[in-house]
Amino acid sequence: MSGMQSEDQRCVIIGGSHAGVSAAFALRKYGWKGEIHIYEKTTYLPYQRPPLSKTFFYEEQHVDLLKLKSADNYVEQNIQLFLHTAITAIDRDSACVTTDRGNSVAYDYLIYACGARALVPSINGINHPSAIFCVRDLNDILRIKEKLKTYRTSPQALIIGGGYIGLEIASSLRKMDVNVVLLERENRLLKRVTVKEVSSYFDQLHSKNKVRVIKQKNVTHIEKAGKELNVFCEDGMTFTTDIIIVGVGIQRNTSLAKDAGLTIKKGIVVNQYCQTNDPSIYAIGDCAMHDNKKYKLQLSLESIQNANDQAKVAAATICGHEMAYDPIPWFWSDQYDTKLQTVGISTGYTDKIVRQEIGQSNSLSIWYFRDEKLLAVDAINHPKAYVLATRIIKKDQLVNKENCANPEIEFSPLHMIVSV
Amino acid sequence: MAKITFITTDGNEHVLEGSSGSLMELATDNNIHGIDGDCGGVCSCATCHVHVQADHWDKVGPPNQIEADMLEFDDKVTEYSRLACQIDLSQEIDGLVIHVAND
Ligand SMILES: Cc1cc2nc3c(=O)[nH]c(=O)nc-3n(C[C@H](O)[C@H](O)[C@H](O)COP(=O)(O)OP(=O)(O)OC[C@H]3O[C@@H](n4cnc5c(N)ncnc54)[C@H](O)[C@@H]3O)c2cc1C
Ligand code: FES
Repeated sequence: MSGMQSEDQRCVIIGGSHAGVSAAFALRKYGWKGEIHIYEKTTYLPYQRPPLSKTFFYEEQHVDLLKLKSADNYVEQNIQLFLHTAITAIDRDSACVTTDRGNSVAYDYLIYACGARALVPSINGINHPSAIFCVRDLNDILRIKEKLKTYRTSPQALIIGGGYIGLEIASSLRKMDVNVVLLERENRLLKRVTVKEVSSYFDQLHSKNKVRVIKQKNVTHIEKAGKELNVFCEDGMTFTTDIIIVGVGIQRNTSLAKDAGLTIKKGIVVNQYCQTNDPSIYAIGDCAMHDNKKYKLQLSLESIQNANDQAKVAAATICGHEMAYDPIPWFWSDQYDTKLQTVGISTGYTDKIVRQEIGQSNSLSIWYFRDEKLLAVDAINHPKAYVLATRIIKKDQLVNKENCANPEIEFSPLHMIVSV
Repeated sequence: MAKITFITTDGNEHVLEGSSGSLMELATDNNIHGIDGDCGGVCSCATCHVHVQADHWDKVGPPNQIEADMLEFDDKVTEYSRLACQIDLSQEIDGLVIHVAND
């Protein structure tokens, strides 16, 4: 662990998004006196990503509303933000990074927060930039919104991928009255992240909102036909559409770290202090992979919680404070008027309870257990379940499973928690 | 312009002024410790939990339904709990004093 620090030290952060920006401000909070540089290769003042597929997508909002911090904030906190500047190499021997403008910048500590990019599946003909879009950054969304404005009547959109991003985009497009077909390769939506009860909830929700959800459809190639696109599936089914939006997952931006000889598995491997195998280099956010002690799993999380909390841990450690990363992961997704909130990690559960509140047909919670231990909860339109589950997991309390499984019993701490 | 006083858990008072957006945004724009606003203001995280000074409660009024559900089982809930992201800045709340719930 570090500790000594002075005004002439410098912490360099690569990537100015949720993780990188949180780390910069946390460094000041924990007392870092030296310089802080953030290098971000895109041009926008760092912004929030969650609204990109939600409110920002379907509302006419100014991009300013998305900003994580105001420009003044960086100045007040003496954080030097270099936009439109990519880091092209890390030289560990001389402890410096190289920018795409050819400058070499020395660091005492380096925080690697390069995140991820959209995974582009290998589908023949997928490169028609004027009509096929990914969903990762502000430019992607601005381009989609521009494109949609060129249609005088409701266009047809086809979404490839029924994960959270694909579903949120479907919901936003419906709010804009765009016709939507959503193709999912698996036999149910959200298969990678949740159980069949949640999948079927969202399947029904989208069908009710007139999205054509079609599962077990593997797209093999795409052809341009005049202004439209023809989409061909493995089983011979074809679709004609105006635009295609792809949401099939992410690819972590680890290449610079790899070239510098840092250990990479699914993401950049870090210890509980978010340190890589080089103690002066930290990796945080979507690009990192940590050993989660609570869940005994190696996790590469893609969430705001993970980006912000890892940023705090890295910053605190650099400033000499004792703080380990031992989170209870949480996540949310908003679609139509449904709010999904997830706390914990359900991987390895042995049994689950599905609780449907009486008289609130859209209020559902799924409780995942490993034997008696509560691992995680998916709460659909049920913030109380989300908050209570967070508390139970944090305090390692026991759930009264019988009461939990019985919606006749009031949902309250008194009834849900076993008193000791 | 509304003047708002945030009292953080270390007892420090921060007097801020703003005219638009939410109290959460005003706080995060000014690095008020204990208000993280992780979900960006959509009632999903409760990292913007505040306690409104009792005699100012009428200025802001009770939480909305989702907000109330997020607060009900929170460890730090009081009868004056609100989520700062759900309170809009306006002339009506000028002079408001709030206590930040988290460290
Ligand atoms: C549309 C969308 C909706 C989402 N919704 C939710 C949600 O509801 N809830 C939730 O918890 N999470 C959500 N997420 C996930 C969340 O946004 C990510 O987990 C988070 O952005 C990760 O932050 P990060 O800083 O690690 O990475 P990123 O946000 O990917 O940022 C990395 C940054 O590094 C920059 N960069 C990369 N390489 C270089 C380089 N060599 N030099 C300089 N800069 C570089 C990139 O330009 C980028 O700005 C959503 C994501 C998207 C895309
Ligand atoms: S900012 Fe997340 S609930 Fe207020």
